[in-house]
Amino acid sequence: MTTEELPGIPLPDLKVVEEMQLGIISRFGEVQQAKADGKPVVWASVVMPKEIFQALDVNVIYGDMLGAYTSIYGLSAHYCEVAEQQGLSRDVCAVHRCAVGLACADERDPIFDMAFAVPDLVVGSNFPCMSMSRSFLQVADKYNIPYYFLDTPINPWGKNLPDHAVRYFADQLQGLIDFLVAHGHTYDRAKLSEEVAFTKALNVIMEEVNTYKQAVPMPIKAYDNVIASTAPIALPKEYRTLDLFERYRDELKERVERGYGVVENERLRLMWIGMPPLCDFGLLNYPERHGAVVVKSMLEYLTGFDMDPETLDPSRPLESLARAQLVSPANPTIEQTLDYFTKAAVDYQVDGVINVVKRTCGVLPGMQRLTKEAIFEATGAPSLVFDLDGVDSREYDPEATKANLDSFVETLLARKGN
Amino acid sequence: MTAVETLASIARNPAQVATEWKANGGKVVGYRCLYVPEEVIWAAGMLPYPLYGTPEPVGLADAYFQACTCEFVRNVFDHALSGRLAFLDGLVLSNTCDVVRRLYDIWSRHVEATPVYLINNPQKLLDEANKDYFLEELHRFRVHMEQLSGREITDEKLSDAIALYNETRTLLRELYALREQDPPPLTGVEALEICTAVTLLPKERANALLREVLAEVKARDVQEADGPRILVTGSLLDHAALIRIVEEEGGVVVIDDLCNTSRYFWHQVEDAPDPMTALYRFLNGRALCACMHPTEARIDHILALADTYEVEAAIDFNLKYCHPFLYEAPLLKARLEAQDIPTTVLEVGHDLSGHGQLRTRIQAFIEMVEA
Repeated sequence: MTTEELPGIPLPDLKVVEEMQLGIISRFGEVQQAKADGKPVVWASVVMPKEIFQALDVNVIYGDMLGAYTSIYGLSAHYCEVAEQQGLSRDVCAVHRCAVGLACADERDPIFDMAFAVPDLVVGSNFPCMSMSRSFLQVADKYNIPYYFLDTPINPWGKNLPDHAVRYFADQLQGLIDFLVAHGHTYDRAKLSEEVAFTKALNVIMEEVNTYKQAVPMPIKAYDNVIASTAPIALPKEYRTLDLFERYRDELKERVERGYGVVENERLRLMWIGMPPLCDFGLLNYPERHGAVVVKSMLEYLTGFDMDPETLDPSRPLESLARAQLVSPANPTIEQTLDYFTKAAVDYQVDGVINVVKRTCGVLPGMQRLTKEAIFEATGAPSLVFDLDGVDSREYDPEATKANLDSFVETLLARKGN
Repeated sequence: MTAVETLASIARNPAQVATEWKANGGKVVGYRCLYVPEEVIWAAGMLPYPLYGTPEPVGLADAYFQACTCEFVRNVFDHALSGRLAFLDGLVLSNTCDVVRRLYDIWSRHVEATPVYLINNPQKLLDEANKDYFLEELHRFRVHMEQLSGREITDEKLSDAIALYNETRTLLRELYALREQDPPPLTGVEALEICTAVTLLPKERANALLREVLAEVKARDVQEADGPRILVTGSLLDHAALIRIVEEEGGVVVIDDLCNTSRYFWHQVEDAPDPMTALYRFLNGRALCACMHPTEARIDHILALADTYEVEAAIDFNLKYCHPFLYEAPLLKARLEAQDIPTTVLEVGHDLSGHGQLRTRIQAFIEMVEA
């Protein structure tokens, strides 16, 4: 399969990222095959500590990721409607409505028919929001299957986590392992340590990648950046190698060394906070026509591969995973999130922030003011806040979105004296 | 004025009691939601004040929260920004929904005069595996309340507060038991306003008034009621307008499952080796909010209420953008309908706009149930 054969999917600019994209899509078929081979299917989330699923060789459907893909494939309206027919309000998260619609539909489009198998277990969590834990209940109810709730404390403590919080969440992770073992999986602590060591090593590479992504001009397109950031989770095991990410780093390094930028005459550097328009994913590259490039996207922190590798100690895998999740910028309260964005705005020399509001999100619409203030205070970079639900295509207006982006970019250019 | 009328007037002016308390030199601590143990605040000599909104359009708060966030939270924050909550000496929030978590963030940065504290309670309840974690969070909260009040919270004071609050809960249970009667001697509007007022009052006064209410209600000459017996559920109703519509359209509201009514008092704090453990068991033992897990416990509780009160229909009032309850609504509706209890889910605004349409839908639902 090549990217050209996938309608609606943008073609990545970097060769290695195209390889990642194809690898991610190829994973779709694995779920059904594993189910046919008698392995249980677990419906879970992409933001959970994936090392546990990988160590226990769990056949996972990442429900939220699949929900996102329905939008990327232009099918979100249909699956949202299915979820709404099940009784879900149109005001709840569009990604999770897509996921529930997909799971509960009587029939699916061919590509999702391949990616979906009736789950045997469900794992939900309240990290980074409660949509997942609540929407996944619909899936557990539909198939009358066991549900494990992974309770993640929020973090009002910052980097100095108290012992009782780390212990509690590590126990929750142990509970997840126990749940999976009780339903036919095998746990080997050494394998979990190996997975944590892999994540640590990958984060060391990603730290280097980040230094190249901070280069001026920007060496990677916004869309490629998103794909490469989700690849560590979404890729099947055989693709998910350190070598792949080292090649990714090296391609970027080579571009930086020869001064290559993805836009000629780079004039502006932008940060994207909020959900990008999944149903029109190529829009991430849209500002490039003005010489503006999105250099940092919120999605990068959601995947857990944009963290300090020192957080992870493979000899204490559960405690490490607990600490990593608790201090994640995606975990409320807002302190870690603001630190992340302000540091990124400085490191990436951001000129302006596109800060979009997905109407059906419970978390982001209370965050815009705070991120806007913090980034402006730290760097002087202004933010454009506007409504954009680019997941449910029924609510997406491409022309209004482009008009918003055009005006913001023009204002920023005028501000810079361009 | 009867005791019922006295309580109704308090419910309609939520800040009145707290303002008087403050004027007499006392401290007032605001809180939301059910997982803040009021007994600790009271044992520190301060008045717990549950945050309520008013059915007015949101103004200033829209600069901080987008219009697609919970209107109740925006409305309350509006009050904070406009100085209507200036009598608060502190605010305590518990770890419930995404928007309350954000309220903590925004409040701590933009309402500097009122320090906010977060109880980071687990969301997985009915599970003793959370004991060490939750107890530690409660101990930290106790220390914070001591610092805010400048008074030591001894175990004795805490036990006294628990006993006082248990008495309130017992009296409210007794009142609600009267609603099992057919017809009930208390309307749904009265029940909501009595409960709301009780949440606002110092509990000695609340208990005295509740005893009077019980005497008044028991002495009532109850008229025959033809309409269906209705269970009302949802998150929080801080005014009686919606229940009034149901009753005006012929429904007989016999039980309500709301944050400011039965969920507030249904469970008792049981004896334990020490008062903090007792409070822990109390909080861990009631998974009555849609933010908490396991969800089945909450749904089972509602089904048990429906059975006890011989309910014939249910109305699920979901505040617009209240995600936890909106997600749960289809599951709850299915379970109720499996018990032959027709159920309607109504997504409602926090202000009074759209109530004309709502009345039509409620009217149609009641007609359908009666048919």
